[in-house]
Amino acid sequence: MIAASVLVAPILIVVFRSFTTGRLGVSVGFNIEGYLRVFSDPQILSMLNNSLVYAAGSAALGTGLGAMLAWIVARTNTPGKTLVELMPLYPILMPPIMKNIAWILLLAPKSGVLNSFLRESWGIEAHVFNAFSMGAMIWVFGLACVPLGYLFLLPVFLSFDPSLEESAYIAGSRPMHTMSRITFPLAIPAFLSAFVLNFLRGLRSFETPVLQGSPGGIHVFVAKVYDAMSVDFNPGLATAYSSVLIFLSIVSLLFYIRATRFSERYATITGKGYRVKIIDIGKWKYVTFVAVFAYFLVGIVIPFVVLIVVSLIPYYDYETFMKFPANIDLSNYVRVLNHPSFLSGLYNSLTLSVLIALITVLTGIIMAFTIYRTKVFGSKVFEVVGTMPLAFPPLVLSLGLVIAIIGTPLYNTLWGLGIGLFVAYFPYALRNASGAIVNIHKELDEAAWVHGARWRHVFFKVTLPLLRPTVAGALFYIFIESLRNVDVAVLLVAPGTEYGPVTLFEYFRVGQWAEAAAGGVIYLIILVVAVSVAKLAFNIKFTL
Amino acid sequence: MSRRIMSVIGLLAVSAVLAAGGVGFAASAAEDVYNKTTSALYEKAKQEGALVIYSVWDVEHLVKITEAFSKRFPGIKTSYWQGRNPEIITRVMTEFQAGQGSVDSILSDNAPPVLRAAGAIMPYETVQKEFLILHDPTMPVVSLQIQALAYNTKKLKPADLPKDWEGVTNPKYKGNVALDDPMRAGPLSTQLAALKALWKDDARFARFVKGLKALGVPVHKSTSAMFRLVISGEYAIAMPALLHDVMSEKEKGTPLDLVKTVPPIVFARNAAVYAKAPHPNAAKLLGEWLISPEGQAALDSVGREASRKGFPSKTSIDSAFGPGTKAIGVQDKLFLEDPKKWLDTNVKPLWEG
Amino acid sequence: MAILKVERLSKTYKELQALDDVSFEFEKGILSLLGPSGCGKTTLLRCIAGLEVPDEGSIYIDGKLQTCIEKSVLVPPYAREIGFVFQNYALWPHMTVFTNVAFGLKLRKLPDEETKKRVRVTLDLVGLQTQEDRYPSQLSGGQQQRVALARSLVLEPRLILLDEPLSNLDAKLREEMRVELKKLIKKVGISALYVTHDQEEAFVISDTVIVMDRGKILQYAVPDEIYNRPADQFVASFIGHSALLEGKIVRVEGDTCLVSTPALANATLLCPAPRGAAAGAACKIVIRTGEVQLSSHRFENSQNVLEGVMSSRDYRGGLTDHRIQIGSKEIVVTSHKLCPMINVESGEEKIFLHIDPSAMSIILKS
Repeated sequence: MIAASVLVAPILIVVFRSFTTGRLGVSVGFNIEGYLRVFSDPQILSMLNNSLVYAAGSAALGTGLGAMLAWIVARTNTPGKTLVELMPLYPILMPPIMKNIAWILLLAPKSGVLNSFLRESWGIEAHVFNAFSMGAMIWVFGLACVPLGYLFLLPVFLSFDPSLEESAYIAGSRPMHTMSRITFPLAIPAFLSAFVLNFLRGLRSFETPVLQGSPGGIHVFVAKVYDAMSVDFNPGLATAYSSVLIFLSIVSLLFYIRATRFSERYATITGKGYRVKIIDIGKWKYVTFVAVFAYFLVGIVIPFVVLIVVSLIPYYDYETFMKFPANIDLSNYVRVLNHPSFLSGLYNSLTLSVLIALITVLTGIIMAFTIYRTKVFGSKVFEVVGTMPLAFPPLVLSLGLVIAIIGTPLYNTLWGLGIGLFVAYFPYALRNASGAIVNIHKELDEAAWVHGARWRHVFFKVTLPLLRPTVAGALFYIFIESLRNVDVAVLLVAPGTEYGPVTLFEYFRVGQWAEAAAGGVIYLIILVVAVSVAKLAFNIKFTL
Repeated sequence: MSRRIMSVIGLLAVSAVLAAGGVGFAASAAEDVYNKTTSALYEKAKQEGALVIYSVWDVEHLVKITEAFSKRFPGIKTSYWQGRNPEIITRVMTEFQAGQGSVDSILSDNAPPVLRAAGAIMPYETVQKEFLILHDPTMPVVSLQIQALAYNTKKLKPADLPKDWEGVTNPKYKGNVALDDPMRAGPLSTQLAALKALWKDDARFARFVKGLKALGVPVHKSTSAMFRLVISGEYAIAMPALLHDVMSEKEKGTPLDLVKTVPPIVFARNAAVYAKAPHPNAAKLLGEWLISPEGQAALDSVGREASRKGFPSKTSIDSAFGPGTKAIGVQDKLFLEDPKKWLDTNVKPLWEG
Repeated sequence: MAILKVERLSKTYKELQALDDVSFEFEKGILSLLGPSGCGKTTLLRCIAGLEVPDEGSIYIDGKLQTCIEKSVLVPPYAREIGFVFQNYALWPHMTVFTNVAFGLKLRKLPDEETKKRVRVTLDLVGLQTQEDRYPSQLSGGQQQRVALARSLVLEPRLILLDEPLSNLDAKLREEMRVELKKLIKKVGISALYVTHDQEEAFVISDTVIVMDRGKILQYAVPDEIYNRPADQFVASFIGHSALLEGKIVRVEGDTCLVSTPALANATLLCPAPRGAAAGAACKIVIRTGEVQLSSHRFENSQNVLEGVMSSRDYRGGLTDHRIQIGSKEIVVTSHKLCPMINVESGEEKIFLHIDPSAMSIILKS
């Protein structure tokens, strides 16, 4: 309930704000002028159309790819097990904006690496690749959507009662058919959870549309929100525009809730003991290995290599790029490592991110548990409310948070920042947990209940341990995401607080790509090492 | 301070003093005033003991500048928060409405005029106004944003360059211009506001905007991404670029240069004092010090443009464009305070019509 | 005192009436709730366990009020001190056999030694003493079933609820387990409420049986009575191996009555008279087809002989099903292999059915 009120306060403020007109400080009359402006805006329909194509396209690409990867890793005898398990994880570590920059460098029509290569080496003058097109936008953001799909679906496939599949085989179904008719349908709640999240992320994502959309003349709806904030300085209007996003998010959530309303149907973790069966897919196992490896290449290796080269050369153009490594220049690294708050900022944000990941994931599970396993009145509403922060563009949400805590002693403290990150990432934790909880058969709870367990015992002794693989994935994801969060955090960082992302990602924000690439490379190396060490040292598994 | 009085001050304020020549009268007398003012401010600021800065500038720059400030004026603990202009405006206005006194000095370009229009700025006129290229009687102008027309030297020969801003609209540059979105509060819209006021010729202005439109090139919403794409050779001309970006790239050997015949467009970067500043004297002291040769040197050391007339720096108009270059200042009050309204009135009908 | 008392329990899910004014008392022993799927038996069990909240009614366990909607009493499941065995066992996959069984004891804060002792004794009882460190996934279905049982028994409840506990086992194991289960429950000396849809299982395991359909109790009696005197047509047909025929009482003579059956060419049959039988009343005749004697000729002086033609014969090992056409009606008669051989080929000669009155019951139409 505390979590609920922490969530509700900023949301109410933001919604209230949408009824106030005028720029900051000019007037705070309560009216619907903002909404009138929104609904009379002639550009809205085409922008909304672009937004929907872009968000749905990337969510479908990303979640679908993530699901395939999860299935390959969890259920097939693809060779190179450890490698295959790790490869899909590393791309998560790369911040989406790094991917944007890398892919622009690769795909820019005239100066991109790929088109230049085709022109210089093959004489192909046509611009085969275009970074500034809807296809490229969906490609890049879709790749950024893969991790959520992967992390949400992996635990489902890992804890799958094979008798559910075996019964299909016995009925004469072939493996691929079984996969599409039995395995994937049972993963629907988790899949839709990830899809809805990715869709909402796409709707409000700004970097890709700004960097890749606007040069291609593709304008998305969220640009209106940003214009209202950064040209108009009118948060009321910005919020009124975001209400369209909120509406879409509620619609997609209702769709999700409806699609998964018979939650018992999706219980894959039953009280019958079983061993997860690895499917022998024959020759296909080489295909699946190549698929995982291909994702590893496009998801991290290629953009990462491009960024490393860019961070090491004086500037990027194709000619200079191809001279590498004759022209290595370490000045970008010197600059980043000498950044005044590099280390202390990193320390602050590491600590905070670990805490936020733990608290958010735990609260998310508690709320999902309340929604799906108890009969607390009105708990279903929180399914929607808990996901709503995701519908707000970060700056709008951040403003709501500031207003919510400005009068309290929390303002300008690390606690306030923590609350902000909590609200921003709660949707991920909640969606993740509710997707996972419906996969656990209710009887497992009930069995504990009738054998003397109270709700807290059921939760801590049964539900929580069974959610372990899910919890591990969500912790990992939220930790990584909050470690690089700037957009929500920025208004809540107290003056004088050295907060890692703000300093480390400053280069991205001010557009110094070479320094940004250097910072990103350092950040990635730290994370890759940390993740690999953690995986080896603690033998973290995403299985039961 | 009522909003009405603020506006009146604002109106009087932006009478930019744009002059090229040297400083006319006895510098030593003015220096005396500066020394007296700062020592008085320093006494009070020491009692305040702290200074909080909100800024759009790079953290690295802020660190160097505040370090130099603290060295000169020990006993004032400085801290900063860095954000983008909309974030600064949002944060300051929210704090202002909540009656919070957290920030003292707002060190930025677009944010201070908007904040002033909302009554969140405490007017303060610097005692060193006669030294400034651009003066605002309510907010010390400590540095300048200088726009230049930059081009990729691998892509264009000097002979093919446009001679002035209007030259960019020549159809032969079609497909080679990286155009900033004129409908966002970015460098191009600032330029338009400056040129419209300079020309005082609506037909010429309309021709210019329509000419840009006729290029049929995509518009960019990120100045820095656009600048990178000019360097990479995706485009040949940056319409426009910022002088300090051009100079620092040139230093690295990047194939980039500016068109010297195209007059620079200048826009104030202020050190404004927040209306409810808990340490107003420290904030004023920072403003005065930044305008002084010492402060200007600190700014120059991080590559920021000087606002002081004749101050020798690599990013000064004199050294980049040659001595005696006349800069075009942005003076339109409506544009400064409500860019959206100005754009809707003056650019939108031409751009979208 | 009755171990369980249910009063006027009702529960509706959206359109479905799962429980319709159900009342009964259960003294002790083993009581089966028998009925087709969707009859409300599982809902009833879950209401007793506290896992579902009825719309109306009250439940007493061991004399203590557990659920009473009218008085807003609702004891949570963990405080009802009952055992519950789930259809899918509901073993916690992340715990070993030992920890699964020790779960309830640990919650009751028993000392470790005591816990260990009781878990071992219980595992011994169900024959799993050597498996305590295994995980459920390493056990066979029958073993998992025993763990589920042990988990409940270890808490020594006075009442254990079992929800179709054997339905996931294969036929042979099921037959073994039901006998074993009965022995075990009797040995421990607790009362059990056993939900099943299998009539045979119910009869084997329980002392008394409740037959349910559409949320109502149709009959509550010992197995023998349910078999021999089904309370209504539904019970009769659900219990199985019986033919149901329309009839009309012609005459009542003391304990017996004469019934005419239009379906069997207006044959008249002498049957045991039901309570309240009167001449002219319409009724249903239930013939337990396993108790019918077949012959190729009519016995001397015998009553209740029907004449038919064999249409087919299905050999089932120890039993044989004979499909016999009598008038417009086909009746399946099951004979044991010890019965005299019937040398009648299908479709040719006549076959005679000798039906003892004790092999029939009459259900009056209300």
